Amino acid sequence: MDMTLRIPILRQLLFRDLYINRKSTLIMAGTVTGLLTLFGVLAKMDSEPTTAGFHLTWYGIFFLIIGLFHTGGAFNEFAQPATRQDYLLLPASHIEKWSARWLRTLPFYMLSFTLVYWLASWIMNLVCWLAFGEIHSVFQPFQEQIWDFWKIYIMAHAVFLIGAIHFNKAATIKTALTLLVLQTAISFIVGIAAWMIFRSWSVDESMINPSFGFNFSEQMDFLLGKVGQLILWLVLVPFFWWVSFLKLTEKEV
Amino acid sequence: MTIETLIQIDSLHFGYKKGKPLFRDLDLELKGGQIYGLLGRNGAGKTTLLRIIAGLLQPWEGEVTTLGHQAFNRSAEMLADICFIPEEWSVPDLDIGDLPRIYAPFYPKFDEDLFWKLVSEFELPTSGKLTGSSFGQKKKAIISFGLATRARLLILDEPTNGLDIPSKSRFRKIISSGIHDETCMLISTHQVRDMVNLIDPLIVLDQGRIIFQQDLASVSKKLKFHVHTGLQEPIDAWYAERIPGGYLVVSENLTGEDTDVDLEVLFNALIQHPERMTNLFNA
Repeated sequence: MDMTLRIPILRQLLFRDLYINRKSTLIMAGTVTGLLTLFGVLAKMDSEPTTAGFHLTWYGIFFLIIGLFHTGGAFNEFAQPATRQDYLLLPASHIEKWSARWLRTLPFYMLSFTLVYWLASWIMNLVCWLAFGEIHSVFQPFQEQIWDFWKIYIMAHAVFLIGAIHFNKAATIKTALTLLVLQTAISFIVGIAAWMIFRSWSVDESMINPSFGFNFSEQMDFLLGKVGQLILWLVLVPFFWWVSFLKLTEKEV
Repeated sequence: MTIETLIQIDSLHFGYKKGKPLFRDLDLELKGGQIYGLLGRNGAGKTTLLRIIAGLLQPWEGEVTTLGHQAFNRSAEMLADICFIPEEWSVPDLDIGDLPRIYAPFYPKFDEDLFWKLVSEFELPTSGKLTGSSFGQKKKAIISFGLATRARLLILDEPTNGLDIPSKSRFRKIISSGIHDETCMLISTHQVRDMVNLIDPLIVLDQGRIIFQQDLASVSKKLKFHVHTGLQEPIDAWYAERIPGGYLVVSENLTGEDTDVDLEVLFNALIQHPERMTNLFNA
């Protein structure tokens, strides 16, 4: 695999991507602005009280849905053999090609979407002010819940990037369906395993009043919560990104 | 001065389905300074072979070295020196003038003056969306860009499909002027008449094997191509094709007469009598 990383080529790959996708990006920004304005006007017509939750809800929905489709379609050249061939033959190393798409779908998307939403929220408020003489609360990008959405997106991004490279067509839908099947299968296996191991246990006694000298529920909360998240972020996410990179190096026409 | 080997294939095994190999133990060596013509029937594996050479498909077994690199590694250095114009391609939603702006930085040897010269020679409009152009115009734009990359290896799959008659002649002129010792062109085609006086040597692929690889001088030395008038097929013909008033004939050149090689007739003769031909050329 070619690991040569040249900044001018990386910049050119990003420029090429943004230039070729400029229309779809503008359409996406326009759609977010239009829908947000519509929802804002409808909320005002219903005389709903303005809450900070309004923006958090719509930001989260738009950000995650558009983001997953954006990542799932990151390698949309793979949909046709001709475009797949053109992309694979583009004189850039594997790491340059992968990094350009990673940058576009992760930091660039997160920042540019947040900026677009912030601008859209001002346009929505301008329309509401012109129509009703009052405005909604203004979207605040610097708040903890936004970071929570970003964390969810980063995890999903790592998985959907693999799908974007693995599947040639309808990668987002196929990845989502694969995840659903995998999740169901894992739940089933874990459920069966748990039933086999714990079927003779009394839940009340073992979980609430454990005999081994510590609170089992608290320990599990800690393990699944803190340690699980740490493993997820430090191991799984980079691992999935690495897998997506390897998939790209093995891609054939 | 030694001519460099640009493509080296050793014991290539490849197929699309497990247990159904398309190529078995295929060997091939292509050198600089030549315009190779790759001929074969539909499904013989011409496009597949071109894709393997360009690193677009991974061989099951064997070594494929393109421009000194393992082909499937697809190193940026190798790709910058390859221009592959496939039979089926797509053009991005760009103006023709955007092509050098967007893609030239990937090709260190890109010659923008040559690009515009070729655009002018092909009589292409210098502005306007490529997506709105005709098939032939799009193809000419892609060929112009490809040649302007000054890549050492040009791979062309059915390059004259969709080109009008004047463009075919310009294409031949442009291609023949672009060859030198450090470059190699590999042209796969069914339109052999479009490639007259252009491709030499000739490679024929059949049933996953290279059944013939000779330059046209050797062909002309060993085979005689002539028109036989009359209703009877000549008895010394290795292959005869009915034409109005007689036959196009290929026979063994026993007199040393120098005749023009008819690529289409040669190909048909090869497909019909592969062993006889192989024996003649290996003798």
